Amino acid sequence: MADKEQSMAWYTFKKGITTENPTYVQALGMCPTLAVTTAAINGLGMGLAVVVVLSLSNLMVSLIRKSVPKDIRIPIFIVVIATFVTMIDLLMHAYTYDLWKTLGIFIPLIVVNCIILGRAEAFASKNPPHYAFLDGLGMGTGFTLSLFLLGSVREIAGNGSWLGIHLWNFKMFMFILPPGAFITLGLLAAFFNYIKIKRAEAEKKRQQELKKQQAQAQKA
Amino acid sequence: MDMMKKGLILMIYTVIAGFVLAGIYVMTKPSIAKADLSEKEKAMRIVLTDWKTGEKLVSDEEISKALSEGGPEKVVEMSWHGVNGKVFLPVYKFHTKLGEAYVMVGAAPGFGGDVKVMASFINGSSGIYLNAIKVLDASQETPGLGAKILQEAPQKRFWGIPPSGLKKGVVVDKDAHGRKDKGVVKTSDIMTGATITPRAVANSINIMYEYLTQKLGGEK
Repeated sequence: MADKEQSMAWYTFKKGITTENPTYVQALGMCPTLAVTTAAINGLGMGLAVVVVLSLSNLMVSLIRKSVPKDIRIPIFIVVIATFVTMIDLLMHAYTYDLWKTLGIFIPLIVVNCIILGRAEAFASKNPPHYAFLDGLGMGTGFTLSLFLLGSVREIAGNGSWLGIHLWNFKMFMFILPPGAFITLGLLAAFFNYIKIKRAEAEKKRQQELKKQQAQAQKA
Repeated sequence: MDMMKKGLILMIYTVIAGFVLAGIYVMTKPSIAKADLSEKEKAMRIVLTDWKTGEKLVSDEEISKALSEGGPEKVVEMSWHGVNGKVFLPVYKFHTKLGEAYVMVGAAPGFGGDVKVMASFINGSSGIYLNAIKVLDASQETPGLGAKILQEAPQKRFWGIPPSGLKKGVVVDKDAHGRKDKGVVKTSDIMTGATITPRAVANSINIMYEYLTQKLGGEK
């Protein structure tokens, strides 16, 4: 029983990073994804802020889910999300001034990130608090890794640097401009889809082999 | 009746959120004010350093004292050659060995909003010259492009503009159209892909200089 619970918790966390990745699989939160990822550090900063807001808002939505009438659940979820975002904005302004300045406009923008509302509606409002929290943590981590990867590719190709460290002088500026965001995102999504298809094919082949072996064993 | 009940529930949630945020606001207000003041103090120390020798023109104590006596901020709308900008009062005046130094904050429109700049003008023996600047806020600029103005290198290009350059108006090289005097600042190599942000810095310098010469009666 405890094993089942543990594997369920692990799956809840893991799916946000792999099979249900918000960026490359669900294509959620595209606006900040495209706007912020001009440099790796921006993607990382935005992602970490989303992890905090998503985990906390998922937890809170799950805790209040039984007292929220169905018709007014969306405005209440938005109130919860906006409260957490404003709280984080104020706390960062007061205690981590440099990070707050770097993230600038992106912190208030988290309110309108559809991943947060999407997970509140699709998962947190239907599951117990600990799973909701893990889902938020997993989805947030998946989002962070996706943004960091996208930001890294764009920064390396467009600016010849990574995390601010100069690599070479060859720069393709298009990659840090909006068209570069779409192109990089498309290429990365295609790459992950290719891996997914190859894996599915390999799995199908394995199943067929297994069936064949079982049939042969039965015959024998 | 049902509608009333739902309305009441929604109200309760918003009131709770309001109280939580009010509490956090009250709690963080002094720290935010302190962080903002310390940022202003840091910027003032930078602009009150001689751009040629790197020598401090005013002691740290004098700067802290001036800031604590400065009083509340007041915004004055200004325009320079059709560009609308702002000057944030008070203007701080210091006596230095190079002449009277005026430290002021101005802003001009950038790509996404106002770019706020602190500048020190020194009324030296040959007239008013720009000693140094520090960009205080460029959070609305494109990350990786215009937001690069927050780095030290692009800002240093604006340091040490002589009286003749200020009189003609500071422009970035992309707008110079054949002008080769000292008011032309070369930014094309370090701010590639971003024209509007350095232009906003140049405009805010011109607006501050305009205010200084018009309102404070400094020699033009």
